[in-house]
Amino acid sequence: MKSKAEHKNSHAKFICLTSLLSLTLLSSACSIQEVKAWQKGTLAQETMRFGGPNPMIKKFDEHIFTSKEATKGGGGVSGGGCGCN
Amino acid sequence: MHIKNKPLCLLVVGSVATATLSLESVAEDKVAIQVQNYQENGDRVDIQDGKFSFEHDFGPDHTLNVEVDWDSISGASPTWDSKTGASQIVSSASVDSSSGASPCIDEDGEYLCRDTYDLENSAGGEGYKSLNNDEISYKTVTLEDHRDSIAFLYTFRTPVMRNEISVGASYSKEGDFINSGASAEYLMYTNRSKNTGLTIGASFMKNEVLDYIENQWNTYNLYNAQIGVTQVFNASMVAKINAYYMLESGHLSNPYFNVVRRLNVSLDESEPVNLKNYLFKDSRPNLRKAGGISAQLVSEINSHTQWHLSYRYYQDSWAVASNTLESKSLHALSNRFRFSIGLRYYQQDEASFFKAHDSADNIFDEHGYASADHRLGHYDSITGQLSLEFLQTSELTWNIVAGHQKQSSGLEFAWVNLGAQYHY
Repeated sequence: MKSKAEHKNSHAKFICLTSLLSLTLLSSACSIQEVKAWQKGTLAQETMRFGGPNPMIKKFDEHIFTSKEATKGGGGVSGGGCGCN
Repeated sequence: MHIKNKPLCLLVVGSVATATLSLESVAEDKVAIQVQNYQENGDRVDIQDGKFSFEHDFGPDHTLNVEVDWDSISGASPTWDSKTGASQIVSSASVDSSSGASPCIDEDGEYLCRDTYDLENSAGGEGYKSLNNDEISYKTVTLEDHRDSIAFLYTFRTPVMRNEISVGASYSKEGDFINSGASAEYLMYTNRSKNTGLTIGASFMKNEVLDYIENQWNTYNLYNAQIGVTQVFNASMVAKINAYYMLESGHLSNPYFNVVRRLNVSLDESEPVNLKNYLFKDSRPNLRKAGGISAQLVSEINSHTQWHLSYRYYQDSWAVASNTLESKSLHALSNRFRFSIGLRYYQQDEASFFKAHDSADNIFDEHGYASADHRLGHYDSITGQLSLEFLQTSELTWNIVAGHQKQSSGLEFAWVNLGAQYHY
């Protein structure tokens, strides 16, 4: 088992990674382009969907994570139902 | 001891999210089936799970999604217990909701809360039974369960703006757990280009849990609300940011977990302190407020590669907080094969009333909320996942997925999925 100090270190690393992610998103946000309907061929592909091309695989993943972790939410208003947490 | 714990049970109506997550919904009819085998290390939990889904468009404005799910659980799960398995014995006591203490259970099935002690008996007499440290152990107890569920989702699109209104309902049943839920979500585009979408949704779930010791059903409810913004950045990048709030109220304690409390069993204040350990049931607050934010980003790196990145922050009134970072890339190996690799990091802070079984301080006081459920503990985990999809025809796709997670708590588990998806 990790000590709390080690956990805090890993927490700090995580915050750094999160900050990096935020910067990526912010930099992207600065360059929003107007995309016309006929330019959305790529965005309409199933591989570009949130959750991936096969929703069932994502659901199985969430099923596992939700049951083994004390936290949940953020993926939509639906879901839950196990009471295992 | 034979219990029907639920270490792994299903998201009942995850299908609702599928229809609303995509900014530009893809009209399609399809059926899909997916089966899974899940195993934990140390001969713990083994699960067989299956899902079947059906999605059909009734014209351009209406879509119906139905999902059926079944799973079977067997194996063993760890908790504090007497070495003789005493905690399976029924107690007739009720929960002391004011203090958070729950009935204690001794090896003979006696109710050991102080109010019911037979004060006529001296310590060690017939009035109560103590469990010395060498009579209590943290061990795995066998479990077995089966669950069936069904969920519906109906989506309506408005004629002009193609905004989406989704309503869902779900029902799930196990021998010791019943869940019924309803949800509603509205996706509104801010302009005709549909590059920006606002989502607002809410759901309600009623959960009924059987307390196998008391032989009574307890209830708790879950209320969930979420708002989100989806933004197209360019022709190959889209992102979504959500804020969510959840409220759980009712009987949130888990009847399948025990804790060890140290009680002063002296019958009179004038007598010397006499501390003894007892098994008590897990005891949690009856209210849990939670909230957080989540962000998702999908980008096409090139015509063969897409990248999915997500982050979630969670915090609740039990002092549990978590950070989740997930990355997944999809690679088209050929016109027929698609490969993906995923990596997920999860970090969680423990609940204020949690004590790990292997910590130096693992015994609770007589009063107060208490849990040794390892899922409420302080840990982090790394999850890796590989998947391969075979696009046999333009209609039929096969997939195989392998995943593995390792937690700093020592728990490891792995799973394999097999499935098929048919578009018609």
